[in-house]
Amino acid sequence: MLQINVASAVALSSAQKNKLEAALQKKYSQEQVVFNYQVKEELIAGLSVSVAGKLHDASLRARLNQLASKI
Amino acid sequence: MSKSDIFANLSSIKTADLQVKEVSVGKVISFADGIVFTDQLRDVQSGELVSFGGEAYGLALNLEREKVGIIVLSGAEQIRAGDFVYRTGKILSINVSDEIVGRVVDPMGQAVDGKSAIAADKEMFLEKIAPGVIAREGVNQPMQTGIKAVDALIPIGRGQRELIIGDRNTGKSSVALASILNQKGQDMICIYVAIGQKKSTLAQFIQVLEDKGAMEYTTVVSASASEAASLQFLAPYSGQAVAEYFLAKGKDVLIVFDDLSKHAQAYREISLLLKRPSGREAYPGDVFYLHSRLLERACKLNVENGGGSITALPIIETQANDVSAYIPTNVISITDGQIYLETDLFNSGMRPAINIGLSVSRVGSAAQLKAMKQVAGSLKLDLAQFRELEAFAQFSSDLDATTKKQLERGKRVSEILKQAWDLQMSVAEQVLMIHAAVGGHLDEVEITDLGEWEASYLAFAKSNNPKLVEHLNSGPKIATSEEEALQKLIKDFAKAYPRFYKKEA
Repeated sequence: MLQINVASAVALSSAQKNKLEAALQKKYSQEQVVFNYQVKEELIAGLSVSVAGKLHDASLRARLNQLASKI
Repeated sequence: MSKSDIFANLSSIKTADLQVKEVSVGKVISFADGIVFTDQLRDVQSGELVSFGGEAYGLALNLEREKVGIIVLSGAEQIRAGDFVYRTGKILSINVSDEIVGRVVDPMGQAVDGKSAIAADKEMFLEKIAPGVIAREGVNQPMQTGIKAVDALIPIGRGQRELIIGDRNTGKSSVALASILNQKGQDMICIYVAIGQKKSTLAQFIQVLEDKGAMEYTTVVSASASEAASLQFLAPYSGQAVAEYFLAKGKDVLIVFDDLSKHAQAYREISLLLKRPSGREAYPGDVFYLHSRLLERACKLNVENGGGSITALPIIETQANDVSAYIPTNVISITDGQIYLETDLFNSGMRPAINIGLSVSRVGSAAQLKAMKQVAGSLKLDLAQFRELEAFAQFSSDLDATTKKQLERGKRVSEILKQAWDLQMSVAEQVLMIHAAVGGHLDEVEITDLGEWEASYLAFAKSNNPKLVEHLNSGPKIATSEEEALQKLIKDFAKAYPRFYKKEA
């Protein structure tokens, strides 16, 4: 079973969740997936998705950090 | 920040390409005793710096199938269970520049002496493979410690690794301290790595360096007893990284590790907490490699590679004079000789408490100055004969005249090897004293007067024949003319100071 952890700055609506789950189901179609949702205010805005040791951080916090390391 | 900087940044903000990339992360599953275990983080390298977010960093040491063992280096108080652990893709390194000389830094290269931050010039890796044979050459220059017993009998060359070993309170650090103090004006950079020491002791040590003007060419790397084991474990490698920065510039460096017993203990603590299998005395299997890879980085490079050198003086503390314990034997076999200090000698007033019989230098005499080599040869012989006779003389009361003479000579020769820790002696001073002792010029002097005799004689020599003293300082072979001058000097001194000599003389 594949655990997909989704962290967001604000709680996601069920419509948003459905959209996200549909997209991720397509990506990991061969496996059975479980979604865990979490609200992390420190992300400021956006989502961060981690699957099996890989993190896709699309939050504003991550981008600000990237920017800070570039300048 | 100036205005132009702000605008430069604005444009870089505009052009910055902020993408969402897939990065490897692990989750903190446990954090105790400075050790974090994370799951996943699959592609992490061994020895890679990892980030816990913010200012918290760690070093990945154990890579296993299901988890990664990480030692925490900083920001331990920020780490929570469930936190992400990120790879940084960096191998542990510290920033070094010329400004580091005269400073006290922690193993991460950060200033801890309350002065300004140290500018970064070059990133030096903490772990580095030692220079190969092609880049090296034989040790051929002396590293004068300013201690008679060491420079004459256990000479240390630039690029050598000489172990200082002994029980607690036998003056191990003092030998190292004296060596650092004696490097003044010798174009040598000194690095003192304090591992697991009390901060009060270290503060005293630094005070002495400052008072004697030795901080001008010395860097102190400190991982005191209150620091985490991970930092104590890294401290000697940091010191070595700083040394290599100056080595790359062709400089001669003296590095002191005070002491490697504590270092081995810190590494044992880490290894046990990482659940690595333990071996003898509960040390992990690679504790030999721990020290050998560190001390192999001491070297003398050839001219094509800059010609610099790193001389290492590791210190090992023994328990009850047991040099056959695990760590002492390891380090003895790694180094090019040892200075063996003993409690009994120390308590009997022999300071430095060097046991001449058990101390050796495996390469030093090749690097010894010619004049010193000349006088030290007979010194060794006198002392060896004395030790043999001394044991023998305890059994028989009536000794023949020759034996008695040898005993008296030996007593005086041993006596002149005594030296206050803060008294640095130049080559000329050492040669003058040893020449006088082995030449039999002290046989008429009372042993109790020898200290005073030494001071008077050296002052007399400097004022009477400064040319000769200067010549001896440069260290060439003592030719017949100089030998005559030395004889004359001693005779003149005997006339000028008759009070030192017995009536019949």
